[in-house]
Amino acid sequence: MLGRLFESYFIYLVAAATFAVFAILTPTILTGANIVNLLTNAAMVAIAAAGMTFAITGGGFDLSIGSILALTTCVLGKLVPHLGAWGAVAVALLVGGVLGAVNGLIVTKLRIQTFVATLSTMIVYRGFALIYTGGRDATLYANLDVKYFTGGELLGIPFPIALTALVFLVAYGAYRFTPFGVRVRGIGSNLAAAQVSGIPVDSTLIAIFVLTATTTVLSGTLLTSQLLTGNGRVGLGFELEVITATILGGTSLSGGRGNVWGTLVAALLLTIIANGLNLLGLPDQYQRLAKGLIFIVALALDSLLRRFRERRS
Amino acid sequence: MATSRFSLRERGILIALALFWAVCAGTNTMFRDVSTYLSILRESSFVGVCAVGMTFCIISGDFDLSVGSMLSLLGIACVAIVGHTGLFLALVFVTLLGAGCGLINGALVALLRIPAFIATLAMYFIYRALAYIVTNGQPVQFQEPWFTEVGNGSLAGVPTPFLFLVALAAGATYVLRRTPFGRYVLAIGNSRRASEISGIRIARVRLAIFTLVGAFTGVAALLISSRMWSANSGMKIGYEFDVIAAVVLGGTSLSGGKGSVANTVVAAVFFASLNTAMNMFHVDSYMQRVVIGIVLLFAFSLTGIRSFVAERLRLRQESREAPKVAPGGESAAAP
Amino acid sequence: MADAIEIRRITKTFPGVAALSDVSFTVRKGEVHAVVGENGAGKSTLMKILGGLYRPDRGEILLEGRPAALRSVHDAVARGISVIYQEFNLMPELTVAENLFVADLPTLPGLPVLRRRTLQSRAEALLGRLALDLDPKAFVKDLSVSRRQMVEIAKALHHEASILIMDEPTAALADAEVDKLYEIIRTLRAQGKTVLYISHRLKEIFDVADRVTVLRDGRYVGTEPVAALTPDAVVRMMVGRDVKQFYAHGSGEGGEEILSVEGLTRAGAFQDVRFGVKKGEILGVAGLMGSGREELVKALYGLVRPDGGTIHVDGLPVRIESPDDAIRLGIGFVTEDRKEAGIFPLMSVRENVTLNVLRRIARFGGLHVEERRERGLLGEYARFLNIRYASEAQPVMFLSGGNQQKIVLARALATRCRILLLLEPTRGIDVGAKAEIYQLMGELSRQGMALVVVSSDLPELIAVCSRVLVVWQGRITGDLSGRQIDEATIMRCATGTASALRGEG
Repeated sequence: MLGRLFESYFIYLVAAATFAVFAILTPTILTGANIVNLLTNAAMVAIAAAGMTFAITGGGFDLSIGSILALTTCVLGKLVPHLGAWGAVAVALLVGGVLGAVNGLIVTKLRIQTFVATLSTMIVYRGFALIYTGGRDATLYANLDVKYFTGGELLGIPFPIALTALVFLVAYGAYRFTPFGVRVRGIGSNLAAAQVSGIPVDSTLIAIFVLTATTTVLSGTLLTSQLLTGNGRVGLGFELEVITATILGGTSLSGGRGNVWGTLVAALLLTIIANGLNLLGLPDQYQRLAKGLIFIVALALDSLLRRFRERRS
Repeated sequence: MATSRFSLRERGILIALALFWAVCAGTNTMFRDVSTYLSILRESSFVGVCAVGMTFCIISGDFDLSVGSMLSLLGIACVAIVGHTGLFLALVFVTLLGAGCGLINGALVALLRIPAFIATLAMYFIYRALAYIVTNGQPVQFQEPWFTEVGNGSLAGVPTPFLFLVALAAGATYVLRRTPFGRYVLAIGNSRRASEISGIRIARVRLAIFTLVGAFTGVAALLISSRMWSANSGMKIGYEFDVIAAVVLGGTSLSGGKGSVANTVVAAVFFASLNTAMNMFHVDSYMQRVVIGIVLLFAFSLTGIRSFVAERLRLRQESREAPKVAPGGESAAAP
Repeated sequence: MADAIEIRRITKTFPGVAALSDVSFTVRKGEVHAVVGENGAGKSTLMKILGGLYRPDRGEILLEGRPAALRSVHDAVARGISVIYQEFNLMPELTVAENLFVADLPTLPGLPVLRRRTLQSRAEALLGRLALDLDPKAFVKDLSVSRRQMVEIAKALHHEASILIMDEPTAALADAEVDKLYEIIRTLRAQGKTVLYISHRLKEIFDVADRVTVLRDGRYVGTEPVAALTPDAVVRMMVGRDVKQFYAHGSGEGGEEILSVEGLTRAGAFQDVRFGVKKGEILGVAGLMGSGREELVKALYGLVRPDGGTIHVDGLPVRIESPDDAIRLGIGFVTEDRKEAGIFPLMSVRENVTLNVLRRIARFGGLHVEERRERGLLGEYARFLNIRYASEAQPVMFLSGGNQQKIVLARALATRCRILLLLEPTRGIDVGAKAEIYQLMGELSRQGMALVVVSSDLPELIAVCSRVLVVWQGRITGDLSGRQIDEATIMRCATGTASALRGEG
């Protein structure tokens, strides 16, 4: 029983411990300005990871989100001057939704495994992004509208943080309290059984892909706001970062069991590491190294714990 | 299938390649020129060499997402020493170093029992970060012009990298078909439990497989950095997906249990042909990606449909449970 | 009153095989009707037709006197037929309640919000109809096989099934659980449901069924009330020949002791186990499920690690820590779960058989495998075991169950083992192949091999073995030989009511 509890809250402990360590090493981390900065950066990965949590719980994952991220920045970069920030975001959401639906249709109608299906669409969508911008940057010159997404506030809370909170509340609600959540868990847990039990499997899968795409578009909006540019080459490796956060947060890779809040905490953890190392003066790549190492250590520990418990029983 | 029979069903990719070449030759004069095909063979080797190793991995039911990052690290190491050691020693060195990286991956997966997807995902970050740290983000170049001959040159008219590919593929095919180790790789991919009962040391075999993948990646790194005149920590991002795509396109299923090195090589050649063809037809380089993605989808949907059919056949077979098997002919097709 | 099901002249053919030919019989409402037959008799095809998975080529099905077009699973369910397969269709990460109501989860009016309390109470009500002892909030993954089966039955009720079809329902149940199942079935009958019970196990037919229908080779043989039959009579109907030649009782005389075990213990599995096996002996190991008999035998093969005790082979103490060690000591192992743990489905017949001995038959110090040598080995064992296959390169998954089992056997025998351990070797195999395997076991023992057979099939053990060990709660309670070997004694030892060790009774 204690073991189960430990398992679920393991990631919280690790996050808290890591934060504590950095707090000791570099007190700057505790300043208000830095905390806001930290949370803003975490938001980008976290929001997309919220969607990915459903994908992995449902037994698959979406490798195309890095490309969708890039495409979002391109769409915003080109359309904001014409439609304004909110208009452009609406279009981006629509585009993302369509692309997500396409992913879903490929998986359900063409019966291609999610790994190779989203691998292929990853290539295609990035192609779209590059074609749309001709490979060039689509710069938004100090467009105040767009800055709102990273600079503005919603009810007194910085927008990125508010958005993250909103997204995760909705995600958790959907996971725990809606039939959709139950169906996703069912599909991830035993696809064959789900198919014969009356669950609308195909439409649920498509909905999952639309969800991952949509949350990625939201992340992309934040990114565009930060970079003030649309570029077809951003987001390389983004999908793997998001998957890392999701799995580190406790969502089981074999499907059926997701951990929405764990995903948020894991995304935070990864950002804390990056932030802390940054403050300590270490260049970016050390952060990647650290992220990878923490991932491995956490998983090795988890694996050892599990085997220890198996031995006993 | 490890069978010496040439069954058409298992050589679909070869047919696709032949058809593609035929269509290209019919519509573009450059495709009637030998040098085009030689160039295709050259290009295919850079992914092909690693894909040969990856075939083993996927047959056994695992895969390695870190080969691209390993490649950058190994390429850097190779370029750094080639001036001092000459080609042969550099090759030995980079292969051993690659094997060492593979060993680490293997230890995580086989000994610590971390799922392959996750372990190699983590190493994906780590290797590239190491590459960056070691070079401080700067590309590494080499001064010795003879080294570029490896990636850019030819021996007796055949592009050198392709010679490497053929040699490695031949060796790999031999190991897979004709050695106990190769059988164990297939067995593990078929059924872990049955392999255990047969006395196969599963952890050891998996460890060896990942080591092999690393070694092959080392060779690929040498070829690629030779070709590019340099190596840097940002090189070939996404390489792992190219490699895995080649293996899967060649007909090896991601769920493991069967596969063919030869088919992987053909698939790598197919990709290279596709890229070359698109260049020759002046397809916009960004549109090229779209085309590749769609081709992949098309190919996978075919295998998807094929495996769906196989599933139904198997279901019918199980329900029949008839004790007699009709002699002669592929009763495999009789449900 | 119309019959619950009337099957009229159903024929179903697959290319090359007539699965069902002109089968007709009726199932009365509210009865427990068993359907028996060997593998390949057509029982599961019939079941799948009733379940809506297959459509018959000829003939029709009438439900309550009216023709039913069962074109899909959905149709079957709509007409009140629920099939409970051996591989359950449950979602382990969902709770019992969620599994039951996943197609119509209770929500707030108009909003997609779950009402968990309603879900809970509905689940409790449903489970209560059969007095099933299940916690609706429990996750299915935490449930035992027997409990999972209960969930499946509850699902059937939820779909307002009037006909429940059960496929080999007791295959994975312990005896106490089988009794529970009988209770549930009796309750279903009392509630007016019709139960179609498909099974190999004659004992169960006689325990719980009202009437039994026998199929053979896709044809209908007969339907009789259970009270009017004896097990022998049923077997005769199933097999079409006299039963006495069935078991080839021929084990060789015991030679010297080749394997002995002393004080073998493993916490939670078996304790202080002591026995020996002689060359040429066929030693049976009987016991209820969960008695530890399987773990015991697995310990002899390195699949289970004992905490204490010693094993001697040929008089010398040995450590068996992995199957590799066991193989080297000349011990072979054949498992019951062919699909999961016996065959390499995508690999060829030849590759399957030679896998354990590649090092030995390879040249150049165990590195180069020559197909010619492999084929030689395959031919040898294929002849000895009478394995039938279309081509040596054919993937093993396309072979019949009996032939697959022979391949697993061939693979073990190829190691030239002197001791062969078999776990439920004839489970799920048709009667024809079973007889062959018994003959084989006799032949092997005559050649001096020591065999240890774990089996739940008591008649099989009684007929084939020269000695039988009985295990109860991890201890040996019976070491029977000669006349002592009979069902009653075995059952008494297996349930702990008696003990018959060497030197006693």
